[in-house]
Amino acid sequence: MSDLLPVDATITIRAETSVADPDTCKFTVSRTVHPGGPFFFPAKELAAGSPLAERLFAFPGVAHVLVAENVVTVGKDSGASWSALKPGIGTVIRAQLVTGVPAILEAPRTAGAGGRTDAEVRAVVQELLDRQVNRSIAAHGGQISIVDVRDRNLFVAMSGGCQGCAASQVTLRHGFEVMVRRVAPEIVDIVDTTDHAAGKKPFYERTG
Amino acid sequence: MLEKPTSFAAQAYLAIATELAGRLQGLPTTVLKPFTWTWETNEGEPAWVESAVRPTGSQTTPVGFRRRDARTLSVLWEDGHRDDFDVRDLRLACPCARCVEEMSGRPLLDPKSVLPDVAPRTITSGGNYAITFGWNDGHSTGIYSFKHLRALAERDAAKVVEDV
Repeated sequence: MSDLLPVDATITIRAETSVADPDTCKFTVSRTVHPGGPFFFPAKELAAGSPLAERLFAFPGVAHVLVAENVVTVGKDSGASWSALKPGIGTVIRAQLVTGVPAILEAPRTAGAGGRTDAEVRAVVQELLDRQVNRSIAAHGGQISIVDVRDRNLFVAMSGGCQGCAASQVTLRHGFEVMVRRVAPEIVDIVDTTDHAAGKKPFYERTG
Repeated sequence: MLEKPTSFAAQAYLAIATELAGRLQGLPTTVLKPFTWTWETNEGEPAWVESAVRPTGSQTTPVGFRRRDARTLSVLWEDGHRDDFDVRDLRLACPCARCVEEMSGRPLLDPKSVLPDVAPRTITSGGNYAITFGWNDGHSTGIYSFKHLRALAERDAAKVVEDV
């Protein structure tokens, strides 16, 4: 037995490759890998400090890692092959369990899903709006602004070209909401407070 | 109906009612009560009725739902078969018109667009033929009929499973 990677044979790990998305594989472990969560690492840089995630990302081709109690779901780049990755992933998970060290560093970013205040959530969403959302919907003359964050509900107003636009709900639910859920999963509901029937410019006209 | 029970219209209504009541008797009935199930806390988890299993049982009547783990929904069918669904695979198999083209059945949903950590917020029974999911990515329009679930399980039976 290697000193670096001790292996406990009583731990069983079942690997199942998804049919719908062959680039993801779910590893179901006979023990809890890390309680609570789920903890999601969309990129290598975000794994720093979490021993299990760091070791998994050390394999070339590992694209993302999700740890939820006794389940570890790994996503790979389409060019990588599972037959090369799976045995190594199994070994890393076993070794992690033997060390007894927490597999995940519960930094505010991942653990904080329940811990952030409304004001902190508001700041995160504001940054998302400034950096990504408003930049792209400005192309259609629209803008989304935060009205309030209260009890984990986000109240927004849509102005400019968004107001009164039939497609604004698509922008809100399929664009903005998806992005918000990514940065602030604790948000319960996103409420559009816009009066779409009123205002100076309820219907956007193409000027160009 | 009450004033003129022998009238033509009254007779017609009676015939319709008798026909419908007769059809109801032949329908499979599930032992499960309607439920609204919060996935994360497991509050409102439906029953898991092993005793309702019988060899001649229906392939598309569930007699149990269970949260096997944070990422897996288990279904027990009346014929005794048990299926374990990965929750993201279920999201990818959403049968709604936004995810699958209605006429051709062509998939519209790109697996890459679905977050790896997608999970149900709630699972709700829909009549006696389906369940619906409220997903944490905001999607909730899919009605997963029991038939669809069983077919999905049969497709997924081909997946590569191994112990590592």
